Parts: sequence; C-alpha cells; structure tokens
Amino acid sequence: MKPVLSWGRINDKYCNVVRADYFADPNLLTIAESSDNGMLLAHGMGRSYGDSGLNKGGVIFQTTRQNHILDFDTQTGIIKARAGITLEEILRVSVPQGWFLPVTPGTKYVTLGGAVANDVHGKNHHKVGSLGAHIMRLSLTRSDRKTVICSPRTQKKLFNMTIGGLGLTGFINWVEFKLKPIESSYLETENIPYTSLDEFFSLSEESAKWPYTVAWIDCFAPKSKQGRGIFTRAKFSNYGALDIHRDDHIATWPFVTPALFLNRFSITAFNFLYRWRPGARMKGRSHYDSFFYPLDGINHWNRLYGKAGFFQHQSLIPLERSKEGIGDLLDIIKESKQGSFLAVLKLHGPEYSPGTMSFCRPGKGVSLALDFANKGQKTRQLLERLDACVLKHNGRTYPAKDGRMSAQTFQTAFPQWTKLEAMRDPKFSSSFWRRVSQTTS
Amino acid sequence: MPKPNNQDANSLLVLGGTSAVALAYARLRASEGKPIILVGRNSDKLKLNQADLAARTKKPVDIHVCDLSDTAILDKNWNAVTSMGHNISEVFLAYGLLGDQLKTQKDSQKFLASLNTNFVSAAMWAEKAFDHFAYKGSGQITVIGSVAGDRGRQSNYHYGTAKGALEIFCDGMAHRAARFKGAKINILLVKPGFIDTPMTDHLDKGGLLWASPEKIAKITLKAVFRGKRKIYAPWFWRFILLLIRMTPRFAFHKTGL
Repeated sequence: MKPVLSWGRINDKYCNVVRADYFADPNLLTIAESSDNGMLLAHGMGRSYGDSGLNKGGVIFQTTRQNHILDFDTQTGIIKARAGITLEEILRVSVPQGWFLPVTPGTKYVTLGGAVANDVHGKNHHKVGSLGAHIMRLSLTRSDRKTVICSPRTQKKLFNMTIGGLGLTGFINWVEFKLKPIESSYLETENIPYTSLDEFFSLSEESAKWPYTVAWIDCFAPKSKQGRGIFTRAKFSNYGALDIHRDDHIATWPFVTPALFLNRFSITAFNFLYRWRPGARMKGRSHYDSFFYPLDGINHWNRLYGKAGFFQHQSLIPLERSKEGIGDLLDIIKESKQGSFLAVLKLHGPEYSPGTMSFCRPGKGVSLALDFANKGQKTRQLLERLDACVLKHNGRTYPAKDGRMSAQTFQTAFPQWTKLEAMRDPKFSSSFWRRVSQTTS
Repeated sequence: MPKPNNQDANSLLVLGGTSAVALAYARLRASEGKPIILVGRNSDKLKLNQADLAARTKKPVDIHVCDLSDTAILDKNWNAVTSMGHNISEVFLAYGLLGDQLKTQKDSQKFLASLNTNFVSAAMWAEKAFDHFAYKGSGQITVIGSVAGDRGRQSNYHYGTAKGALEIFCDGMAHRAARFKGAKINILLVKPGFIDTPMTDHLDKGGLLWASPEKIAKITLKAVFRGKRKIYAPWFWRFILLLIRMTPRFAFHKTGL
C-alpha cells in the first residue's frame, strides 16, 4: 500500500497501486484480490481533484500504459483508442490531420477513460453537450461477465451508465468517438471585460452562436459589481497552420507555496493584475494550447496552493434559478473572505449526452467552478454552505472535483445514484463512492 | 500479400518491436511520416503496436514475427525483413532481457540463452544492418545498451557483460564506419539508466533517477539528429557511472551494488 495523492493534494489514501501491462487485458479478479478490501478502481492521470479517483485500502489500477490508438480514419474523423491514452496524445496525432477533440476539459493531461467516466464538458457545452454525446462505442470488461461492447444501440443501459459512471461499471478497454474537423489549430478569440452578472447573461446570450464561451470572474468584486469579470468567446479560425502544441511545459511550479502567501490580499492582487493584464481586452488569435489549456503550461501547478492542498467546487444551477443562485454563492464566498484565484462561470446548453449520471444532465444552466486553498475547518464549512445553497437552487455539485460532499448532498442532487449502485461492477469501488453511498437518515 | 512500395521513403526497422522504448521511439518517427517494420516474437502485441503506428504515420507499417535471439535462422529472418519492399535507412535495436541473475547463475543453459539474446544475436543483427548500409551507402544503426555494461557488479554482471560486449562491438563498428570512403554510416549506442517499463516493474520505483520510455526515446532521437556516437540517457548517468568506474576496487567490493 502506497500513499496516493489526488490532484487537490488533500485526499491522500493508501492504495495498492497496480500498473497495467502495455498489451494484455487485465484479469480483474486477480488484481482485486491483491488488496485489503478486495476492491479495485481504474486510475489514469490522477487529475480528479478529490477522492473519486482514489480507493483507500483497495487497488488502483493504473491504465496509462494501455495507450494505443487502434484505428483512426482521417476521412471521417472516427478514432478508436484504448482508455489509457491521454487527450494530449490524441491531439498530437489528430491535429496535423485536421481533427480536434469534439469536447475538451481544461487540461489535456487526462486519459480518455477518465474523460468518459466523468463525462467531461468544455467551453462548447452550450453547443454540443459533454463528451458523452460524441461517444459511438466502448468496450467494457467486468469482473462478473464477459467483455461487452456497448453503444447507444447495444447494451444501451450499460453504455449510458458508464458515461459519467465514475469508473464504477467496469474496466473501460477502448473508446470510439468522432473528432471535430478544424482547418487551423488557431482560434479567433475575443476577451470582453464586463461589470455585472446581468452583463454576463446578456453577453452569453449575444454570443450564443460562438462555439466556445466562458467567463473568468473576480469573486472579491464589490456587491454593486458582483460577478464582474472577463468574458471570452472563440471559434476555430478557418485559415492558418495545423500546428500541434509544444512538447514541454513552459515551467514547473518548483515548490509547495508557503501558506503565508495565500490570502485574500494575494488573491485580490492577482485578480487586479488578471483584470488589467494586456490580454484582458484582447481581440486576436490564440493557439488551442494557450486557449484551452493555460494551466498545462505549468507542470505541477497544483503545488501552488501550498502544503495543505486545495479544494475545487463546481456547481451547476438550472437556468431559471441561476441569476439568484450564482449571486447567493458569490455572497457566501465574499462573506467568508476565502477567495478563489480562478473562478470560472459558464452558461451550459441542453445536455445531449446519454450519461445517466452526467454532471451536466439537467440541461440549461450556469456552472461556477471555484478553487479554495485548504484552510482546514473553515474551508470545509464554507464548502458545506455552498453545497446547501446549490441544493436550495436545485443545483448539483460535480463529483470529479469533490473530495468532501456529504452523502446526503450527493444523493439529493443525484437521485439516480441507486441505479449506478445496482449496475456497479461488484469488484469496483472508490473512496468517493463509499462515502457518498452511505445510508443517510 | 502485396508488397508496399516504399522505395522513396526511408523506413525504420525496429528489432524488438514490443519493447516500451522501441514503441516510444517508433511513435516519434511515425509522426514524421516514416514507414516502419516491427520485428518481434509476439504477434498479438506487434499487431497492436502496428495499428497504433499506422494511425500516426499514414505510411505502411509492417510486422515480421520471429524469435530475434534465434541465431540459427537469423539470416533467413534478415532476408525476410529486407525483402518486404521497404527502403530501410535506420535500424533500431531495442530488444533485450534483464533476466534474474540468481537463476542464470544456477542454470548455465539459461545463462547461455541470456547471452544469446542480449549480445550474440544482437551483434549479428547489427552486423547484418552494417553490411546492408555499407552496400547502400548510408544508414543509421541505433543500439540500446545499458549503464550496466560499464562495470561488472555482483548483482547483475550476467546482463552487464552482454551489454558491455555490445558496447565494444558498437565501438568497433563505428571505427570501421569512420574508415569507410563514400559510405556514411552512423552508429549510436544509447546507455539508459533506470527506465520505468514493465521490465523493471518488480523494483521499487520513484525518485529522480527513473526516466520514462518516452523521455529515453526523445533523447535518442535528438542524438540521432546530431549524429552522436554514444550517449547516456538521461545525461547525468554519465557522471554517476564515472564515479562508479573510478571507485577503487577495495571500496567497490564492500558495496552490495
């Protein structure tokens, strides 16, 4: 058993780490038996923030060696690859041929399997839904039956449960999905500063035709300017080269930042600089790497939050409650005096993904993603209050980013969790799942 | 089977096509659009790598299934590989067997087999490649050696001997190549330290000394571009091995290395 840290560097759990072979399909029963609790969980790049990728007392089965592309049709853009491949590697191969990921999260260092298991979404959610909407087939090995190939037509229930199923329905061998054609690897982007939540909504409405939209917000803005920030919209350019991203990180965050430097003054200063940086009013071109993956440039950026680690909190509030809901959340944060460097606001569209457990399932709404340095009890209390507020507005919190939500919060927001529990592979479990599936009174 | 026509493109021949470093290196070459031949023993594994590389290079990727260490039919295998319709310009020799010295010490047949795999057959393949390039006029031979070949150590001198001999062999080939008039053959010996591959999964990993196969492949490709003859990968092993070689015997023998 080794200590394994998740991306937020808080939930270190002792797991038995088993690494996948390059070639052979895993023998799930034997692997599961090698741990104390007899449970296993597939684990890719470990980019989940909380404990949804950890399995205390059990096995985490590291898939990154199973990274073969099995088929890539450059005419149709259909690619079939093993689940341990990273999105970074897929881009390396697909971009020169004029194909891009249909949906991408904010980092390219995640495995395809992890992206499916969390049904990740991106800046184009309002147009095309989350990744699950683009999956054509996937192969799943379970400990209790033979390997099955699922698609929206065959084994539909298992398919729908696996997309966003937190890796609990079995081991994903490979995934087949359709890429999106691009004519250039550069995007035409516009950054527009705005000063209120109302403006965020009108900008979002006005930009409905733009394929990619997102906003960065300043969570310490005065009440009169609540929600102010910078609205970004972009589309792939139809001219320019098909350059892939650069090979190395620009820099490595060299050490764990001392807690002393993480307070509301440093965050206010950061927000000020971020708002007034030259690019904040930019209208121009940027490469997909700097547009979609700004933090990937810094290796180990998660060390920035200090020794105690950090929490992410992402919630989605239905559109009709969103103005009020986001306002309430921002009030709670401001009052707590614990801010977030990168608070991200995004208007979601209707969900096209078939994933039963998908985070974006309820459809149109607004999501707010925040991170907080871990300051112990007071940060946990703040997160509890945020959860309560999200529930009050019929919203939900994102499991991939969570390491602490209560079973009750989870079960209220995801009442369909019992279906996942019923279809869960009996040998698969995670620390997250054991926590949130507890009986609540 | 129809023969691919690749006479214009320069192909990479990989000996040991299922090794982790070889796959990483072939992927880099595939992204440059090179045709590739993979040689190895396990056809299922080779086919998986073939599909992956074919998706990247968009040029033919062929496989030849054989036991590379079988010296009796090595000539036949060489002929089979060179008559696949490729214009081979680079040979990447990556196969090897770390082995368990406690077993090879007790079983002389196993010891012989490991020498055959890690040195005898490897040298024979390299010699074949040399002749091929000498006839053609140019070529690149890249051999994966090991830091284990720098000094005999009680824990793995069986493996170390073979890798050390391979180094002397490469030195000799490089000398021969240098005296060639008209032909330009470059021989590169790569001496990696600890690589995080399935071959080393039984060891306790982590720490700065371990490198990924992708990193070794990247370093190797850079060295090929620069026409280097011998490198440690990553570079710091040069200094670690310098210290190990310079340690006086009385002190060295007190260690359990």
